[in-house]
Amino acid sequence: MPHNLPTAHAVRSMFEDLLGREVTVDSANPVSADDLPKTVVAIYVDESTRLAAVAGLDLPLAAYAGAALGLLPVGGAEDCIEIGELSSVLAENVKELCNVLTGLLNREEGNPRLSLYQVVVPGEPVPRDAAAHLLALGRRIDLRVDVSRYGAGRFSLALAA
Amino acid sequence: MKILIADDSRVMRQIVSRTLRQAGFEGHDLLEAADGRQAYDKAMEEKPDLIISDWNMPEMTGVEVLRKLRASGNDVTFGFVTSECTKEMQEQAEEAGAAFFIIKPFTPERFAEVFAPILG
Repeated sequence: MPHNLPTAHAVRSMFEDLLGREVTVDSANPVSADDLPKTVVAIYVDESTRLAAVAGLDLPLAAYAGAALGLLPVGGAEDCIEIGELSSVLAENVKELCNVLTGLLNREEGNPRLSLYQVVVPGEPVPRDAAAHLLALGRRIDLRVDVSRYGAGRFSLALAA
Repeated sequence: MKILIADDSRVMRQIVSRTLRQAGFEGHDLLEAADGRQAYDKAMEEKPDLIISDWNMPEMTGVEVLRKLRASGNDVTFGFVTSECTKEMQEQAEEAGAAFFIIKPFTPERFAEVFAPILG
């Protein structure tokens, strides 16, 4: 049975529970090739280590959510957005966030379990197959995620199969 | 009580500590371990009353730590806080002697429900 995309509501609840603050979501445009160098890309695989899903958090969302996760001041996130890369602390926080987001993909009993394989942060090369899935039309959800008192950015999730 | 929080993510250790406080469990002595080996060593040296552990960690997984502790005769109250949750994992945890299984993301309410009988 193929995995189902999470609903916008499930994505919102996941961010809210994880960050412990109000989060709102709205529809957004898909990621473009130009956005990729400033996108955190999380790669999820099945039990045979086959690519199963790819998530993308643009730099603003990665910075704001990473800061909110650690209760860090918003100023640090804004600095990272301005210079175009994540600090090591925010990058570490976003990696853990991507780990917990795995739960969005494992909501249904009976499907093969997916797990986080790799998180690519801005400045690192995105594996070609992961980039292709993140940019492709198909089974995907693209949302503007607004983290209360921090800020908003884009979250995308594309299923590979 | 002395509580050991084992997770390879620093921010997740902070979140577990914070959520314990938000759930009303304040004034406990909190220790941290950043991988399975450290978790086992600190469990043996520091003799915590409770261990809250991630499942996937470098060096040793959480369930390997639990099995090793039990094999050493250590019966500390031990449970998991993890982002992955399968029936097999829950069965393994139960068989190894885990007292609880909490799935990330968690809320202070969930912590209160699980830890009230343990921490009072």
